[in-house]
Order: sequence, then structure tokens, then C-alpha cells
Amino acid sequence: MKRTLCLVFIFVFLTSFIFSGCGSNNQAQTATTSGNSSTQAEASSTQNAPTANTKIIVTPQLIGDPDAKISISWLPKDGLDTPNKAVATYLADKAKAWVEKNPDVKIIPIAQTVNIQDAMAKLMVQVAAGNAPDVSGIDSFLVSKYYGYLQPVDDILKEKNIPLDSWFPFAQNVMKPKDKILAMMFTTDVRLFYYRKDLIQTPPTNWDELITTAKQMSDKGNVGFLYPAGRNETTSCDFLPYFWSQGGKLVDDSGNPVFNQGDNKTYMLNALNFIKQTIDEGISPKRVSTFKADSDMNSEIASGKVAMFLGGNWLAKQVSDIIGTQQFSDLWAVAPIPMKAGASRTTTSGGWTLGIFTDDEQKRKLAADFVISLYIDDEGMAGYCSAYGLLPPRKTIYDSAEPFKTNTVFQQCKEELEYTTIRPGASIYNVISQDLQIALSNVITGVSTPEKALDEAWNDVLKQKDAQKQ
Amino acid sequence: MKAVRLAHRNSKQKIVLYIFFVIVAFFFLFPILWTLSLSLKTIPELFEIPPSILPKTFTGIGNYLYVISNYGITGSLLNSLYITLWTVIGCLTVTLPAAYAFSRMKFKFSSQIQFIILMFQMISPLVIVIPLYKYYSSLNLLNSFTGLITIYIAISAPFQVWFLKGFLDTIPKELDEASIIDGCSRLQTLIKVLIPIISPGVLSSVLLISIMSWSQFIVPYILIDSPAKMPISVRLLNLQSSLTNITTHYLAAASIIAIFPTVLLFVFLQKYIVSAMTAGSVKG
Amino acid sequence: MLPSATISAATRKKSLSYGLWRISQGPVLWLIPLALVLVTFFLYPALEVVRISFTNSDMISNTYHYTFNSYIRMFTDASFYNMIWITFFFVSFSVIFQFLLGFIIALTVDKGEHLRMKGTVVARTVALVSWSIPGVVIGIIWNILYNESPSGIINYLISFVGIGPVPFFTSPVIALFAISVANVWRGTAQSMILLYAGLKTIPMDVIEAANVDGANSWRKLLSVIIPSIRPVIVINILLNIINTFNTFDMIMSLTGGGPGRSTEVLVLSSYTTIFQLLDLGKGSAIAVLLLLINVVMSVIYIRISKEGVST
Repeated sequence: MKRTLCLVFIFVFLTSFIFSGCGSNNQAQTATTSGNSSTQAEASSTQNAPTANTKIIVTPQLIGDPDAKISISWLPKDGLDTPNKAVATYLADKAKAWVEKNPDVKIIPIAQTVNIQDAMAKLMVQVAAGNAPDVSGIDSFLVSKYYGYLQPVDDILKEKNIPLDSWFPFAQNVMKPKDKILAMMFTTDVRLFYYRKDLIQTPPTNWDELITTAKQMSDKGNVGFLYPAGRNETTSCDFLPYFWSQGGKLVDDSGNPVFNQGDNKTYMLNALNFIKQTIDEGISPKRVSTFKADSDMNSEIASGKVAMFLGGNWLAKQVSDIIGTQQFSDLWAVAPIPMKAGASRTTTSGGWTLGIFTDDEQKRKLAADFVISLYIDDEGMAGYCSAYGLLPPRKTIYDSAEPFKTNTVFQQCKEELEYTTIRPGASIYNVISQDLQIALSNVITGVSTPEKALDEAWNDVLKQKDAQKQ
Repeated sequence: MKAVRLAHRNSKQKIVLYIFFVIVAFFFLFPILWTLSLSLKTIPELFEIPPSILPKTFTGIGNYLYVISNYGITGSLLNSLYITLWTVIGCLTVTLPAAYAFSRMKFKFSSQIQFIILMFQMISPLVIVIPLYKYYSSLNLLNSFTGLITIYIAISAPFQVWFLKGFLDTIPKELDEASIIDGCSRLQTLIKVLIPIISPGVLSSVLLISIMSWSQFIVPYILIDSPAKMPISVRLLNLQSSLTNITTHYLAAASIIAIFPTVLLFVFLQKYIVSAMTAGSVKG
Repeated sequence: MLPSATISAATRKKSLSYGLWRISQGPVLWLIPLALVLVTFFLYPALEVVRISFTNSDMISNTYHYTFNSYIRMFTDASFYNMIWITFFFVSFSVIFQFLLGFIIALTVDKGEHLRMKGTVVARTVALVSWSIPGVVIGIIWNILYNESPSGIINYLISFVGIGPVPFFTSPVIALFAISVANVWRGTAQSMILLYAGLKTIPMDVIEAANVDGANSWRKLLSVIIPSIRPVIVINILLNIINTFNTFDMIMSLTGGGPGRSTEVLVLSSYTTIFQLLDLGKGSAIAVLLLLINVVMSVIYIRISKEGVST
């Protein structure tokens, strides 16, 4: 009996060894795609023959010479093992080029996760315990929590001739809260209103027009209007423009919540009632409250039965992957998000920043140099953002680099970026966001009226705010 | 006559049982079959309306290749196997003696201590992981398999103590006394006599501990930094479609790969359970 | 070797091995490894959780005050009583059906083996496979299955029997059933294997005696089988209750607690409070509450199950 057990274990381990043998040989070539000769040379170098750069390896857990004296820990937004092949190749190539120029430094990436909340929570735990990585990607709406721990990078940016003004104004506010630049924004995004240009001649410009158009569409058997309304941060990003465009403010300048007071209350109720209207009039199905990521809408969009939807600019690429780029550009166009009549134009932008935590002066410079070459300077930002399909937060890139210069969707996004709003950096924001998501869900499923849902959200936010004050 | 009636009753029973087995098989297999189907699809096929269980082409095999060679899923599989193996060994080493003590010995505060141990079980690992990070940081157990294994043992031990005690309780104490009269020490009794009898229970324990450690994802994510050391649960999760990337097909392929060793293990261990049964029941 | 033979050995050796023998008769030596593991690795973080629940700590700042505020906010949360109800429903449904289904499968597989049917191994294995998938992945898979859009497979299949598309995730009530069913799918394997193992430890002569008595199957089940594996059943259910109270990974990936908060069980609330709202104090308070509920339920359960015990 014991023998059978031992045999079983040995068998299982052997099979896994065989598999992992194939796996680990290739892990060193993580970002290799066929036809890229430099990475192929690098791949063979990890196996036996030395190249001119002797011992440099490029893997998801170590970049550089394993014996290098200086090591920099890096928590990237996406690791070298990201399933996004274009990004993986880009990062590997750039990182390799950098360590070749700086052979006495090795970079140690820390495992990332697709679940942004877990990742940011872990970063917080690490920072609080004094174990912060030397350089880290930080989601832009959480950067404010780290201002006390981040190192300024003004001098380094100046040295490299990358002026703060090359960023959009909204990004500058995130990067420089007071008098020092503490974070470098390297991607951003916008929420867009997509519509079927073959079915709709002129896109609606306000809520009433949207409802009318959508009704016409649903009469023809289409789904009028889709948007994500599940419990996820992306829902807030898609919903808040309706509030902001009327002039609404979530928090005041000291970071206290004000969204249920005075005019803000009216604006918020208007927005919630609009959402309720989309459900009541039948132009949006209740299942929008199950869309936790806007990519959840992809299957319906790809089926050709959806007339209009609201979502991130990355959906353009995702839907194109499903139905083909040509068909996507034949069917879909983009317009400013329809707001309440008379309200101003706006959208939401998120994005990611890079922050340096290490207080070692030499490491600070090296780490900054590393990430700037990958993500921030003209070549870096253009390369990374185009590989990913995200938007560069530096205005100048749109005028200088492909594909941003010529691609129409990107140019439209650039326009939207002039009107965009970012989520407030107040520490109470993520509570507000959660509660609004819950309120939306309750309004859509009919559990609460907008007034009741808003009051519940407000009360919960106040309680939390009181707790923070104590 | 009686024989014929018996045979007739038997075959009726067999038919009923077979129908039941088919229903059960369908209920449990369907989600997995669907995952298998997803793992062989390409991105456009994932979103087909109406959905079909068979992929149109079999180019989806590429998903598996990608997940194995580019994403390195097998490395994390090995990690998980390693961690699980040591967790099982460590946990059994610690809990079998304790279960024996609670089952066989009467001592003061026995039930109170047992209950306190159970209380540990009631604290979810997800909650302790935050203070655990700071604590392990000071013990220098971060980013190491050892650290992970120790906390896994601590998490699964309370459950296993109660569980194994339950099995030990089904064996009459006379058996112990018989073997002590034969000259065995208590430890020898435990190892040579009792454990073989409750071997189905011990095996179930092995399975339970394995499943527990296989499923953890918050604890390893927080305690481990290096991508090379991540167990498979965390790496699987990373294949979820993100806001900017559709990867459901990769996730499905990786899930199938992740199930593979455990299914293998189950199939083999079952034969062991059966052979242990017949040996164990003869002794009874 | 007889104990007397040990004692009659050389004096020094005799007192040492006799001393060891004496200690090994008592529980201390047997419990030390367990105690060591729990105290070294589990105790401090667990106590920290309790301590933090009495503060207003958030994840990042190292300054905080001691206060009952976290508990007060937890109890005055608008959905608090709803969460308790949802948790109890989820746990009851899961445990009851996991036990029933697991027991039926264990019995039928056992019976099938007695009748020497082919395919019992397959049935056994199939029921176990669901167990080998990490909970969070099970949530993802069932999320895909329950998808309400036209490409969702479950709605598609049941449309063949004429049932309209079921709003698995947009109806608060149905969502709760949906996660409970998924949890039964996940957990039945565990109950099944335990009960099956238990069935296999029933001595053959007991079963034969019952067969000889001519008892029909139902009576045999009630008066022979169940009492013989009673300790296993009791433990199984108790541990299942505790485990289900702590199940959050599957629910998190399946519904995220939605729609609204209609599938937010207590432990999931603890997770979102800590990891999304970054409020360590309140999250720890919820965990402590969960611990207390578990303690109370276990005490009640143990009392009830002791009442029927003969041994």
C-alpha cells in the first residue's frame, strides 16, 4: 500500500518535471515572439553560449546580471509574464536595453496581480511595514495615500528634459500635489460614448436625445444602451461624469464629503434618476448591474445587437480583436458622453503612476532612470502606450509619435482629455465610490428609490469619515 | 424463487443507481466540460451567440502551449505541489498525536482545550494575513516557502485535529488495550494499529489539507513577492481578464492544467482507499 | 517487552525511560507539537486581529486610537442585519444540501460497489473533481456559466425546456440561491468523501448482522449505519459549518457581493472592508464578530449532538 502511494507521488512529480522542463526553458524567453532576432539571441544566451553581455538574463523574476551589486525592487503594473504579449515583449526589450547600459544594477520585479485592489492593498501593507519596493506602479486614484512616503523626482525629470508641462493639466495635479513632483503618470484613459454609426445618423447630445434614440433602436430589436454598473471601480468612473458635468462635487477642498448637500444633492439625484430611466424605459437591461468590467459587455457588442454603449477607450481594441478592426471602424464611432441638457462636457480619466520609495540616493536615481526609459520619456511612453492601447498622459506625445499622431480614435481621446475630470484624491474617495456602486445597483434592480439609495450611501460615507477623524 | 426475486430486485436497483450516477456525473462534470470547451476556443468564439460546447476549430490548443511555455504555469504547479506535500506531512505529524491524546486520554480541561483549538479554525486566514505580514517580516519568513508552509500547517491543523479525533473515536478502546498488553507502547499502538484502521480517514485528511493549501490565494499573494515562487492559485487568478485584456481562454486552459495532477491523485488514491477498506474491515 | 521488563533494567536507564513512559501516558508530550505550531505562527496574528478591531486603524498609517467605533459602525451599518440573514441562509443551505447530496452519493456508490456495478469508480471520481479547483476559480467558472447575456450557457440550455432567461445576478433573491447552489457543487465532494470513508470503517460484521436480521434498507440505514458513523457525521457537519462561514473566495469572484449587497456574507464584507475600503479596524471587528458567531453556533451544535449520544 505504501509502495503504491510512493509510486503515485513519484509518477506525479515526474510528469510535472517533464512539463516544467519545457516550461522553465522557455520562461527565460518569456517575451520572445518569433521573428525578433535580438531576443532570440538573448534566449540562447540564457541556455549556454555567452554573448557580449555575459550574464544578463531577462526573466519575470530577475532582469540583469544576477551578480550585480545594486539591486532594485520593482512592483510593475504588469510583469514580464503578463498575458498581453505585445506589452510583455516591449517591457522585456526595453528592460534588457537598460540593464545592458547599467550592468552593475539588477532589477527584481515583484509579483503583480490583475486584481488591482489586492495589489494596492499589498503595497500599503508593505509600505506600512517599512518594506516598500524601491519603485512601484501606483493606481492614480490611490497615489494620495502615499504622498508621505514617496521621494521627489523633480531633479531627475529636469535632467532628462522632461518638463512637467508636457503632461495634461489633470495629470500634473496628480503628480505634484504641493511643491514637489512625487509621482510620474505614465498611462491614462478616458470613458467614451460609442455608437453605431451605421444605425444612428447623428449621435445624441443629451439625455433626452439618448433616450429617444435608444428607444428607436430597441424598437428595431437592438439593445439601446449598455454601460457597466457592477461592483467595481470602473462603474464609478462611468457614472461620475453625469454628476460632474452638472457641476457636482464629491468632496470639498479639505476632503470632506459634500455630494448629498445643496446643489450637489440635486445633481446626484438627477444622475441616479437618469440611470433609473434607462432601465424603466427599457433601453438598458437590468443585467448591466452584473457587468463588473466593461469587457463583460463585449459578447453582446460583438453580436451586433447593441446600439450604444459607454466604456473605457480600451474597448475599441478589445472589440476589434473580436470582430476585426475593419468591421469595428465600419460600425462604430465615438462621441462626447451625452449629459443632462445644458451641462458641460466631461469624462473620467484614471491611469497609473510610478513612484519611488527608496531613500537611498543612488538607487533613487537609478530606479527613476529605469522607469523613465520604459514608460516616461518620449520613446518610452509612446512605446508602452501603443503596445497596450492606453493613452499617453503627456500632451506632446500626441503630436510627435505614432500611432497617436494619425489614429482617429486616439486623436478623439486626446480631445476628451482636455475635458476630463479625475477622481478626487481625498482619502474618503474609495468609500464614496463603493457606496455609489451599491446605490446604483440597488436603483437598477429596483431595491431602492434613488433618494433612498443616495441617503444610505451618504450615511455610510459620513460614518466612515467620522471614524477616520477620530 | 427467492434467488430470482433477489436478482430481479438487484437489477432494478442497478438501473436506478445508474440513472442516479448519470445525473450526478452531469451535475458535477458540466462546469468542467464547459471550462474545457472555453480553453479550446479563440477570442471570437468565446463570445458566440448562441454558445456552443464544441469549438469550431482546434486552434485553441495553442492556448495550452501559451500558458505552459510563455506563462510558465507548470512552474507554479510544482511550487504548489511542493508546498502542499510539506504542509500535509507537517500537519499530520502535528495533528495525529494530538488527536490521539484527545481521543484516548482523559485529562482535565480536555474538552476546553479542544474547543480553543477549534476557535483557531474559526478565524479566517484572510483576516490574519495583514498582521501576519508584519509578524513574518520580523521573523524573516517573507517570500519563502518555509513561511508559507508554516502558516498553512497552522491554518489546517485545528480542523484536522477534530477530524482525525472523530475517526479515532469510532475505534473501540479495547483494541488499544489489546495491543498494549501485547507489549506495544502508546506510540507504537498509534502508528501500527490505529492509523491503519482509520487509513481512509487519514487519506481524507490528506485530501482536505491538500485542497486547503491549493486554494489559498490571499495568503501567498501577500507573503510572497517573487513571481517564481507563487503557487498556482495566484498565477491562475492573474489570467483573469483585466480591464484591458481578454484572457478567459487562457484562464480556462490553465485551470484544466491545474486540475490535472489532483485528478490523477484522486484516481490513484481511490484504489488505495479501497484496498485499505478491505484490510481495515477484516480487523473489525 | 513487558513494562516490568523495562523497569527491571539498569537504574539510571530505568528512571529515564520510566520517566519518559510516565510522561507519554499523559497528554502533554502528544500535544506539544500542535501547541508549538499554533502558538508560534497563529496566536500572535490572531490576537492582533482582536486588538486591531478595537482601534480605528487603516492600512497605511502607523498611528491610531483605541476605540469602540469600529464595532459601532459595524452594527449600525444599514445592511448589517441583512448580511447576517444572508450569511445564515448561505451557510444553512450549503451545509444541509452538501450533507444530503454527499451522503446519498456515498451510500449509492457504496451500494454500487456491493452490487459490483461498473462505473462506481467513475462516479466517485467525478464527484471529487469539483473539489480540486481553487474556490476562486470555481467562482469565475460559475460566473461565466450564469452569465445573463445571450452567450450565457445555463440560460441557453434551460431555454430548451421553456424556462425563460433567469436573472441569476440581477435578482437579489435568485442571486443568493445561485451562490448557494454553486457552493453545494463545490462542497459536496468533501462531505461525500468523509461520509464514504466513514461508511467504509463500519466493521463488516455489524453490517452482516443487520443483513441477517432481515432489516430492510431504510431501517438498516437509520438504526445501524448512521449510529455507527455518528462521530464522523457530527464532526463533518460542524467543520462544514465553520468552513462555510469562512467561504469568501468563491463568492467574491462570482458576484462580488452584488447585486447591491444581496450576496455579501459577513466574511466577504470583512474582505472588502479591508482590501477595498482599506479600513482595517472595521474589517477586524467583522472578523471578531464572525468568530463569536462561530463559537456560539458550535457550542449549541455540540450540546444538541451530545444529547443523543449513548457513549
